[in-house]
Amino acid sequence: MGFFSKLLSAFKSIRLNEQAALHGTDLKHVLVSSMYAEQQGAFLNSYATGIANDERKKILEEYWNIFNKEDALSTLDYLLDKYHDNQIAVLLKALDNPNNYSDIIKSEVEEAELEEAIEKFRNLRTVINDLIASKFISNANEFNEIGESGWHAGRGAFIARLCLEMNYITELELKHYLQKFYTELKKKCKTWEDYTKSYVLGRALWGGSNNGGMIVIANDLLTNDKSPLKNNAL
Amino acid sequence: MPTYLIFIPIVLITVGIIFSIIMNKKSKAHGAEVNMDEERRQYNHYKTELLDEKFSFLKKWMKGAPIDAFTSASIPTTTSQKAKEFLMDTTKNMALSAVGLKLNRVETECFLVLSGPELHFFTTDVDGDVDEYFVFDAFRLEKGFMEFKGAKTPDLLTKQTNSKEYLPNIYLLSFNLNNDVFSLEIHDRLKTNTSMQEMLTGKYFKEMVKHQVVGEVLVNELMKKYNNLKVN
Repeated sequence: MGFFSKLLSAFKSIRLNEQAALHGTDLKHVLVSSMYAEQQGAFLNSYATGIANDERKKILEEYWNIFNKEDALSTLDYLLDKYHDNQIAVLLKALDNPNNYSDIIKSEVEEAELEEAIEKFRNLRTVINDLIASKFISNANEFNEIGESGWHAGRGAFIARLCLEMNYITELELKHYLQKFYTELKKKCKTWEDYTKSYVLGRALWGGSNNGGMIVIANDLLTNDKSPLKNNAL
Repeated sequence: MPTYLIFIPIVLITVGIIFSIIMNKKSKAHGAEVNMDEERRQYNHYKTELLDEKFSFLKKWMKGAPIDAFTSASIPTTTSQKAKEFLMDTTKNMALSAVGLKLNRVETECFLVLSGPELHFFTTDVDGDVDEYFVFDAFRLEKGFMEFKGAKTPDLLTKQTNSKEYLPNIYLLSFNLNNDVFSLEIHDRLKTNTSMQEMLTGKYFKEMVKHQVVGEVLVNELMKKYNNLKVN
């Protein structure tokens, strides 16, 4: 376990909101944001994130360029649209063909998305052996069904919660987006474990660093007795 | 300081130059005797021998990945200068960061290994260990371009001894990175690091031929795999 993994492990915690806890379907919907929420030290089980205002602004403005309602809706719709991206099947096929991966990707990915696919393929090759070595997955084909769905859903759901707190969207709109992200996620992931795996994969494909730390978070969410993910089916 | 000490470096340099001239003459004489076509038929044997012995470190560095061909390489002075400029220019530095190369050492040995469709590039530190490592994948190679530059510019000693036979021919492999051109020099032979014993017993020439036969394959294989890199 690397230094950052140890550091994260030392501070890991499942943060629950005792005052405004959600239950049932609403809880399942909000738990789609749990990977991002846990990473930020936010509440897992409520619409409120419990994140300080300046930190919330920093995430929305610096990382996501969201300054108003229009930006918020456009970003959330973009993340919903990413569900229709089926690049992972092509990337895995290319990974299985080390001598002609270039031809496979060029022939099966549309020109407009080619550069993005190439970068993702490079990132996939960089991380795949580490993910297998750490026993997070047993082989790359585990990603075939789940793809990056957890990554898109997790980010979308958490961003939507932050947008509510900034009054960029209403609570009704938040519920609408959470329900959409949950429904799309369920089409590809059958369990919360699938969700955490696809979140880590998606993050790694987009060049995220410190995957070891994210794996610690994933394992904590799945195994900690306090975790709502352990106690509620997807 | 005793006066005679001043003469020691002068004597050493003179002996070195005389030795180089003698070796160069021997090389010319030997070159006339070598049948390169016959030597090239020994490619597989020579390649295995070099990878098992003098260049066994490449197998270690490649971590079990296949080695289809390998040779020496260098970083052109313009690129090393560019690398320094990049390092001082935050915006341009992004270009080198994009491929993960820092190139903070340009005077030590470099190697290229062709493995499947990919070109693995290693720079070494003063101890001969890997300093920088980067893989040029098929996507980058498909967008690269190459030109033949002739014999590598000789250093001061080779200029004095006129021993161009010792210098590799250079193929300049270039890539566009963020609107800047980044180049590497592919040598058409492996650099021959010969022991004094090999020098004195004449084994040196045999080694030199072996290094050429093995090293020249990489650039030919690269041109076969990538039409855009073909050089007339």
